[in-house]
Amino acid sequence: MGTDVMATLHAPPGSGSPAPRRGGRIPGEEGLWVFILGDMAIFALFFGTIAVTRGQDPAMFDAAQQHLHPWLGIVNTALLLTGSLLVVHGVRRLGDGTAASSRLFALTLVCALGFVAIKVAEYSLLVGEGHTGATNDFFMYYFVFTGIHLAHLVIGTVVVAFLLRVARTPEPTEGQRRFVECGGIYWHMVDLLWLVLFPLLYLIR
Amino acid sequence: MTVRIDRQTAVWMFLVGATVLTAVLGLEQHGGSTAVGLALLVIAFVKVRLVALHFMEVRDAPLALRLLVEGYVVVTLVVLVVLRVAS
Repeated sequence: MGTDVMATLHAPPGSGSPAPRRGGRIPGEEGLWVFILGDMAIFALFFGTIAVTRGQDPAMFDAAQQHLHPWLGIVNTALLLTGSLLVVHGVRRLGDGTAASSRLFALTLVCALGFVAIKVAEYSLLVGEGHTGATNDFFMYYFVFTGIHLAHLVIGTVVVAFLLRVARTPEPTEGQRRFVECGGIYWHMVDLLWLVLFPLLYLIR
Repeated sequence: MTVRIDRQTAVWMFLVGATVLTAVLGLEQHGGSTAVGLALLVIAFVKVRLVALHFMEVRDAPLALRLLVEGYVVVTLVVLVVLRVAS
């Protein structure tokens, strides 16, 4: 079994040969990474802003945080992580002559729509309980930063819908393969940003 | 019987486990705890690194890209830890 695991660990997507270790290849496209790293840098500023806001008035921050619904955030984390795993396998199975890839992207779409539905329900609950962006700095940043993240996720949902369409092509071209790989990386970035935004807003006090 | 779990599925299992740990630590804390806050930050950035390396395949990317991503993880985590400890 040890040998099996090692073979699996070093197998690149869709290939049985050993992966090139040094130098490597850029996942997706170089230009995409300029955007991805730029977006991650902007979110790093958001993360810092949340930490500074708490530092300025911990009592206000901690009291406001108690009104959030962390379980909804936890379920959404699980949906994004699961969506990411489905995307990984969807990209790998692209063009393998089965319907696996399109099924995996369809399931990712279910995860994405689940996240949106839960987020909208969460916003409705908070507003219904009298918490809006005008309540205090905590809620202002909560709505702005989770809203910007949600916008990224909605774009990601549209991207996954396109991946689903490409995955139905019997023999995807090199360009289509590259597009699917880029779309997958974008989806993972949306997942990755939430992994920090969630504990910072909902749990860390 | 040998059950083969691929690398990304193993990473996903770890990430879900880390999410459960995050939930338990975060929801069970009484008041604000610096130790819990720091633990949650570290767990979050371990998760970020795993998603980047194994899902985004940065693990097999050229060294420059890998260093940029690893640098992002370390610098952002250190800044947030300093801000949390200083508050």
